[in-house]
Amino acid sequence: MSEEYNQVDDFFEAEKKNIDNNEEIEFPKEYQDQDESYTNESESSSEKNDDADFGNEEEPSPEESNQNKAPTRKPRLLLTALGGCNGCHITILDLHEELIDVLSKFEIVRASVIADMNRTEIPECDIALIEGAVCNKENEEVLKEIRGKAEMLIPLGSCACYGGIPGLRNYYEIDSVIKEAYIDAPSNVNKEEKLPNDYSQIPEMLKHVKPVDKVVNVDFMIPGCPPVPRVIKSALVDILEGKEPRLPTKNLCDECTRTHAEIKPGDRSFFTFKIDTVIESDLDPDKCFIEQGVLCMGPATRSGCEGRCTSAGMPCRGCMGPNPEAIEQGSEMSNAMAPMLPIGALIQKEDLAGTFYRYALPSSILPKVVKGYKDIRDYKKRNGNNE
Amino acid sequence: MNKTINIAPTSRVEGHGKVSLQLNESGELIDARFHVMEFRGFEKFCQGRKVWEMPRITTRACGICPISHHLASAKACDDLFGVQIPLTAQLTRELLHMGQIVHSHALHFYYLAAPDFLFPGLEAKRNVLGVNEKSPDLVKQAIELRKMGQESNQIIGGKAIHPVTALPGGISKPLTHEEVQTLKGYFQRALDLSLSGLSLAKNIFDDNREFILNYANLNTNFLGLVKKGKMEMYDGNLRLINPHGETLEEFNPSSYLEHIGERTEDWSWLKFPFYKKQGWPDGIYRVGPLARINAADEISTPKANELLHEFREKYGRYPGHTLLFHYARLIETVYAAERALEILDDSNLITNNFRQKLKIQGGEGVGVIEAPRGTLIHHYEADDTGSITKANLIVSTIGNNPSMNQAVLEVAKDHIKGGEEELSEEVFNRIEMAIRAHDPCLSCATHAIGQMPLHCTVYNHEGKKVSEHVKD
Repeated sequence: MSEEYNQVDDFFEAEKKNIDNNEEIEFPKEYQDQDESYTNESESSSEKNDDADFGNEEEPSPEESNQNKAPTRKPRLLLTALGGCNGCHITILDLHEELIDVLSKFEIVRASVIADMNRTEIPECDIALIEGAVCNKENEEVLKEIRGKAEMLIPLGSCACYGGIPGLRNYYEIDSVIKEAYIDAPSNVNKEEKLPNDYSQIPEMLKHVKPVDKVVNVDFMIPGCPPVPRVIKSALVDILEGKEPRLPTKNLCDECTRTHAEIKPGDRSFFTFKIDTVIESDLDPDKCFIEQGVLCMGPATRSGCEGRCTSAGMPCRGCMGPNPEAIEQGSEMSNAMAPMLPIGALIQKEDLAGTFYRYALPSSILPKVVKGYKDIRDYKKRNGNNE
Repeated sequence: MNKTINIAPTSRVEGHGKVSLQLNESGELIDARFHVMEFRGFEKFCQGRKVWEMPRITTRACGICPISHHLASAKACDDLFGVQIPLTAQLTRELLHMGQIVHSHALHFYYLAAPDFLFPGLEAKRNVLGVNEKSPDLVKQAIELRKMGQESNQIIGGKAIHPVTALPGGISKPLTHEEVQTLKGYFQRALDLSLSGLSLAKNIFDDNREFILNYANLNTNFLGLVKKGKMEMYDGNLRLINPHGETLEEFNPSSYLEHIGERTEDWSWLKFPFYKKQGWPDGIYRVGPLARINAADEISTPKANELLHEFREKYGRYPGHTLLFHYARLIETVYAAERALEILDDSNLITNNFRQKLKIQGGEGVGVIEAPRGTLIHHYEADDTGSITKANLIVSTIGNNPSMNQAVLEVAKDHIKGGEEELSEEVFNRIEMAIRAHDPCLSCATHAIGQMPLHCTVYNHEGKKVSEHVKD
């Protein structure tokens, strides 16, 4: 486990302050000390994973791992997906051999991807992991119901944490979004201009996509698109052990392996006067993208993703969301770029609205873009202050 | 006024699949509707984005097959820029695609479909943990097969879920020699596992032969990519055949608008595509594993081709049985592993010519790929600054939307006779299996969501709910 995750930061405190009426999280005592061997055990199995020899995996069987003092009750885990892509569920499966080991620590009360159980109601649970953004009215109702039944509610992935890619539709009025898909798209054969609007059968879309924490209180967040499987695991392990899970608080540049110049305070010169998009640039594989004049979201993005994109030769696009100290990702990025790149050239070349706010538009403090209203006051007057 | 039966995820839970069955006054089943509950609006919010960002935005249409979207998008961009990408880039992208087929097909068969076969009726056990209790070896194999796919994707795509390495003009980095060695190990293991998985599954298919042959046999067209008549996943022409195997069209994907149209219904967020010349509903076609192996003359790799011929001896040349999607899926897994090994032996895989630099321009481009669930089409238009002005996505699951409705109707017809309003557990599971066989990835489809929590409601001829059945 990297040192990053063991660092004690103010992040959790800062996060809590953002949440109204947040109650002190007390995880039921019976789970603590439940299985002290867990961390060691899983660490040893993750070491095994680094071994390229897949033929000789010897996993501790569930019986063995349960040999320690029988817990009074396993924590009940609920996994659900709202408006998203299911990638966060799949990323849990990417624990591979450790999957069974991790899941058997919990009683899974609902999880559509991995289990298949007959229940008509949302069950009570200790931990609810929520994937996806709140896109329609059903999402909103389900989420509120889960909050009422969950001891601890954790948005999983950047859609749930910040709105994510589906949140980009907040730049448009929902009617125009629907019209584009069902009437204007070139392959449609829809002369009568029929729309999916039988809301007795299908849920109605919300005007704006919302992150989970704008609908209910949350206890912790696991961002990433998708989150790194290891991060999910370590959060779950922390919870099992009764600890508060932690996330890194530095920005991606800290984790990035590319070489970068040190910016001295008071240094007023740009790195480059020329902006190149990824398709025009030579993309030097070792040098900082920004120093090459390529837009990279690293300076305004939380670390913890292991710099997977930058090591694969592509600039960061901000999927871990804003650093907790930043008020919001887009303005943080504007600040970061101002001393480094010629912003005029950047505006001309790149789509800053769609890149600076790619994953965090719905959690931005900027007013929503809404057609048909004079200004934001007009909008609030006609819609109430909630949207 | 008619009655309706509804199948959906609990009263309020999770916006996933939901089925309603419509009865007439004498209690006969007249219609089945598979409702899709979610919609995200990629067509609109991609507008204004830069065309070179599209391969990194559209991946988020689906977390199960993000690589398909990534590659279809990159191909649409290449087309828009009018660039022929270097061979190294082409091979690397195709290799990435093969890794995804292994992962996605393994996920579907072992994690989602196999529990159905292993635990008929034992509800509480029908999940991967249940399978682990009954047959830990099978689970180990399944996990390992998926892992081979995902680990390869991680190496080639940078990230296994939502990869980043394909960009207009090529790829961002070539593989290294060490990586190629590692990948050879992965795909060799994937080949062994998929072959042993298939021989195990064959027994299941043989034991259930009668059931398979009498279950939702549909008469639809089939659509799939072919290259010189052989099955193709990455690049080729689209071939549309009728249920008897006659070729209706074989066209360059860029002319898809001449052949494919999409309908909208007010009761689903998912659209309904069809072959324009035959109109609706005659022009309904299916996509995905069964469609691909039916549309193709042969498979280019030896072991998969052998398996294909064995399959055809058993079930005929153009079978339309819904459950055979599972069999076809396993044959394709073998193909993917074999094809990957071929690519890994190609000397053009590692060269310094892996990307062509481009100049910003406007234009129009279409990119088509065979995603695990079927034909996937991305179509963009951009202005001179490279900003998207129009984006159209026809995703794989949409292709099977009409036939999923048909399959549900077929299955339900056999079980719901006049006057019968209660859905038995068995009928419910059968309906669910019909949908599951198509492997609908609903997150992708409404550019929406879900595995298979299902809610079925029966409505009577006055539109009143008469019974309900729910599964998460």
